Amino acid sequence: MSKPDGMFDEALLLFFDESREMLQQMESALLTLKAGQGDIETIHAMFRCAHTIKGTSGIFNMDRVVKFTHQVESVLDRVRKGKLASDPELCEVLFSSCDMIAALLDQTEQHCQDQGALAACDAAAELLIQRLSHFLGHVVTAQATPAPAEDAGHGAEAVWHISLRFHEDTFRNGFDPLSIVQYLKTLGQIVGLAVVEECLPDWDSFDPESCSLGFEIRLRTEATKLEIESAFEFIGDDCTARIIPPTRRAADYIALMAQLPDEQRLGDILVGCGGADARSARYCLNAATERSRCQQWTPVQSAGRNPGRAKKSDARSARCRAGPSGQACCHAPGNGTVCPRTRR
Amino acid sequence: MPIAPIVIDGELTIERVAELKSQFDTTLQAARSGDCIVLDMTGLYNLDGAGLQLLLGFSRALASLDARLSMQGTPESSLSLLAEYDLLERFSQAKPVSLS
Repeated sequence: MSKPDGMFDEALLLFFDESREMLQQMESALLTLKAGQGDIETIHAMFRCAHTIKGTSGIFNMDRVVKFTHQVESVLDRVRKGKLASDPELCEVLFSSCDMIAALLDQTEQHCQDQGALAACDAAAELLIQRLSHFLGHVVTAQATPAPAEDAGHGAEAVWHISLRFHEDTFRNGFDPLSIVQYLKTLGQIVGLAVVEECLPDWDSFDPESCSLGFEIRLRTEATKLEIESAFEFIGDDCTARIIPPTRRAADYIALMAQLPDEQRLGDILVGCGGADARSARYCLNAATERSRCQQWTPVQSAGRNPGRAKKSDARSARCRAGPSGQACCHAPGNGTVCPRTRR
Repeated sequence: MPIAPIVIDGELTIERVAELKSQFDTTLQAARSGDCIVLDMTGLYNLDGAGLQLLLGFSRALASLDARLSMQGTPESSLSLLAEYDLLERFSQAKPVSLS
């Protein structure tokens, strides 16, 4: 396969454009803050901008942008949580930070090869990271890797379950499923990860450029569902993400298994990565088996490879929504209407 | 007669999976029950999702013949990646063996 195709390039262009717009919004918000006219929504808006730029640049493997913007995001996170007051000094550092993000984006967009310019920019970024780190109450060394915002006290953080299934054109569209996992690591700590390979075709029909991968991920994080969903924003239709809040209820896993009826080993995988306990998995499996048996006796639902999907209630459940148990199934957060595609 | 290790040099990424699958096809045709196919990963410097998927597919194809896949010389970065995805046991790491 040659270079990433047009869809990837378009997404990248869109990202650069939107990032610059978001930087302008951040600067406007900073001016408002500096004039003493800002409120909590001003801070939230700035945080969202930094978070989106960081998240999306992570999807595109722009490590320099991710590393720097992460630090900005962490500081803004403290401000929005009331742990840090905004003052003229902070505003000044944040103004400089916006300039730095813009510079890093420019160099990335222009594929800058000038080692001197790159090194100078990195050195300036490190200095700013040091200044920002004072607002976090600790000093970050130059080698430090991005850690999740407010990274102390992991023990108290909740563990989310994220079930990902990538669509066949994922590779062709220039996306690498591993980069999504890499990005999720910036939101917290991955405490369980299993590769789902049940959808891999037999070797004779195996097309190595078609993606059949899936992941079951346990993510310990303080992030909100919206923040987790943002990891999948730019990959759009190439990934079906099902996000289970930290409830560990059997009902959530039954719903997950019901949505993936072809994956007979999912129960074992969920137990293996710590998503469900064995009892829940057995319960899920029994429920799924029972469900499958029922569907076999209903002719109108039995056509196709995923007979259950013909059922009206299942069609509804396949839409983006948060169900009664809080389970979310989404593509491209924000549009709220895209359904997971059934494998053909 | 043991099958010589397959040398994976450079990238095991979307750019090369089609080419490598053809190479694996040839190996599969020669593989017999009980064989252990070794991938020499010494020269590997980049592994992406497509490469990982190809390894999984090849491993499954070998398993269907009662053969297995092993690796040798896997660089630390790829070992870390395999460990992160809980695949270290799946792709056991062999010590280099001389065929002479």
